[in-house]
Amino acid sequence: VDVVSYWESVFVEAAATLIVALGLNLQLGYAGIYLAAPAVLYGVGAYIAALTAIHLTSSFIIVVLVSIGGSVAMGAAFGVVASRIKGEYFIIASMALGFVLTGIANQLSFLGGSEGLVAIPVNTVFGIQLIGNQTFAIVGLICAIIAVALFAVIVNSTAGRRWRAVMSDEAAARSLGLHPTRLRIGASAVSGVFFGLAGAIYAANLQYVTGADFSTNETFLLIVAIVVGGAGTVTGPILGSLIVIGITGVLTNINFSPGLAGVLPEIVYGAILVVILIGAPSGLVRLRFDRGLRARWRDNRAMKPRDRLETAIGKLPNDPDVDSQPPDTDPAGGEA
Amino acid sequence: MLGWQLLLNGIVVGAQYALVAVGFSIIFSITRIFHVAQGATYVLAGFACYEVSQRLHAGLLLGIVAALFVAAAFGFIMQEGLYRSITNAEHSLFAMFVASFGAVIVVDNVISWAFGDNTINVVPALTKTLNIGQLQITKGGLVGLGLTIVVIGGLGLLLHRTRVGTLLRALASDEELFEMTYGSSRKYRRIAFALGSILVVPGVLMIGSIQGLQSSDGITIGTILIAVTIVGGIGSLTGAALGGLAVGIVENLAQWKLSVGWDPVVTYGIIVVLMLARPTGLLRALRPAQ
Repeated sequence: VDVVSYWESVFVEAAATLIVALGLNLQLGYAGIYLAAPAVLYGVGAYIAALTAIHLTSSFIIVVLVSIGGSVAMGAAFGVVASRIKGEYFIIASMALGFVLTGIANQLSFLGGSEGLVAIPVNTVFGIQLIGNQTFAIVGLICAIIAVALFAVIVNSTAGRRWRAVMSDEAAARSLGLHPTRLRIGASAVSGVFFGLAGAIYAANLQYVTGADFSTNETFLLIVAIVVGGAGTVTGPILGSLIVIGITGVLTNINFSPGLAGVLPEIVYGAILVVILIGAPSGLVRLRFDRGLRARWRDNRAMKPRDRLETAIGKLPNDPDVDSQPPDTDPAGGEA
Repeated sequence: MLGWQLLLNGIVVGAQYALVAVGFSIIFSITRIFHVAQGATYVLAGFACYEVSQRLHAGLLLGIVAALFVAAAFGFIMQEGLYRSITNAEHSLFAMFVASFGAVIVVDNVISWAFGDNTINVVPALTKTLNIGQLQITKGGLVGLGLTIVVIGGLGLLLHRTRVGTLLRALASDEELFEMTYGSSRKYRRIAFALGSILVVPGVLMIGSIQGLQSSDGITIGTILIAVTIVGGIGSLTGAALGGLAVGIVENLAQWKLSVGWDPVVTYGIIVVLMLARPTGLLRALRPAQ
C-alpha cells in the first residue's frame, strides 16, 4: 500500500477520533457525566449519516446536519438518564444503554442487522465528489478545526461555566439558582453535535458502518485519548487523539501474529494509561516538570492522612498530640 | 407450562446473578472503589478453573483452587498496585473509573489473545439436565440455587456474627470514624478486596458452565453483575439477591414473546429501566448512596 495514502487514512481517523473525543471530553471533563459508551453515540451518528446518504441525499452538508440533529436527540436521551442515575452509577447505566442500542442495530433489518449498512453512496459537497484518502484528509482537517473552535467557544460560554459549577459542587450550584438536571441534559445534548459530525465523516469515508466497529475497545481508545491529553482541557483531546491514533498507525504497520496484532493496541493503551494515571493524572497538557515521575509516584503512594491534611491547609503543628501541650492560663474564666 | 419453565429459568439465572453480584457489593460498600474490573476478575477466575481442570486435567478441585487464587491475586494487584496509587491524586473518582474500565478491556483482550474467542464450558458436568415433573432444570442451576443460599447466608453470618465482619461493616459505615478508632483501615480494605474477589468464583463456575464463558464477558457480564448490585442496593445482601432475581426473571419471561436475538436488548433494557425506577436500589442500603 502507498505509504502517503496510508498515513492520509490514519490522519482521517485521527480527525474523526479527535471530534468524538471532544464530545466525550465535554461530558467527562466539563459536565462530570461518566459516559462509558461514547463509541455507541459515535456509531449512532454514523448510522444516521449512512441512512441519510442511502435514502435521502448524498449532499455531505445535509448528511452532517441530519446526523448532528439525530445525535443531539440521542445525547439528550442519555442526558435524561444521566440526570437521574448519577455519578459512578451512570458508568453502568450508559454501558447498558450502549449494549441495548448495539443489540437493536444487530436485530433490525433496516439497520442492516449484524452486517451493518453497506454501499453508502459517495457524498458530495458543492459538486465535488468526496472520495479517496487525500480528499478526506482535507475534509477531516476542516471539520476538526471547526469542531475545536466550536468546542472552545462552548466550554468557555456561560453554559460551559455552569456545567463545571454543577460538576464541582452540585449543592452549591443549586443554591446559586442553577438547575443541575437541565444543565446535565443540555451538556449531553450538545456533545451530540460532535458525535454526529464525527459519525458523518466516518460513514462517508468508509462507505459502510457496522455495530462491531463501535465496541467497548473503541470506547477505551477514546477514554485513553482524553486522559492522556488531559480531561477538561481544549488542547488535551487533540494531543491525546494524535498520540493514540499515531500509535495504532505504527502498530498496524508492524507484522505481528494475527492474534497479537488484534489485542496489542489495547495492551499498549493500558500500559500508557497506568503510567499517566500515576505520573500525570491531570493529563500531559497540564504536566508540570517541577518534580520527577518517581517522586510523584512515591508521594501519591505514601500520602498519609496527615500529609493529605497538610496539602489542604498547610503545615500542621509537630506535636502529634495537641492536647498534651502544657495548658496556658484558661482564658474562658477558670475562676468561675 | 412454558410460562412456569421460563419463571424457573429466571429464578435460576437470577440466583446466579445474585451470586456474582455480592462480591462487587462487598468491595464497593467497604472501600468506596467502583471496581468495574470485577468483570475481569470473573473472566480470569473462569479461565483459570477451565485451563487447570480441563486442559491440564488436574481435576475440578485444583481448578477451583486456581480460580480462587487468580481472583484474589487480581483483586490484590488492582487494589495495591493501581487503586492505592490513584486514591490520593486529584480527580481520584474519575481516575478510578478510567483505571478499572481500562483493566477490564485489557484483561478481555489479553484473554482473547491467550485462549481465543471461543465460548468455553467451565464445568461440563453441570450442564446435565434434570426433570422435575414437567419442568427441566440443569444440574448447575440446581447447584447454583443451593450455592446462592449458602454463600449469601454465610456472608451474612460472617458480616454480622464475627469480629472481622463487624469491623468491615464499621469501615463501610464511616471510614473516618473507623480510622480514628482503629487506626489504619488498610488491612480491612485488603480483606474486603480479597473476599469480594474470591466471591466471583462460585458464580463463574455456574454461569460459565450453563451459559458458557468467553473473553468478552468481562465487560458484558461485568455490567450485569454491577447493575444487579445497584438495582438491589449497594451493600445489601438481600438487595443483591432481589436485584438478581428481578433481572433474571424478567429477562427469561421476555423470551416468551421475543426471539433469542433480542436477549441482550431485553437484559440491558431491564437494567436501565430498573436503575431509572430506583436509582439508589430496591432496598435501603447498608450505606446510603451518594
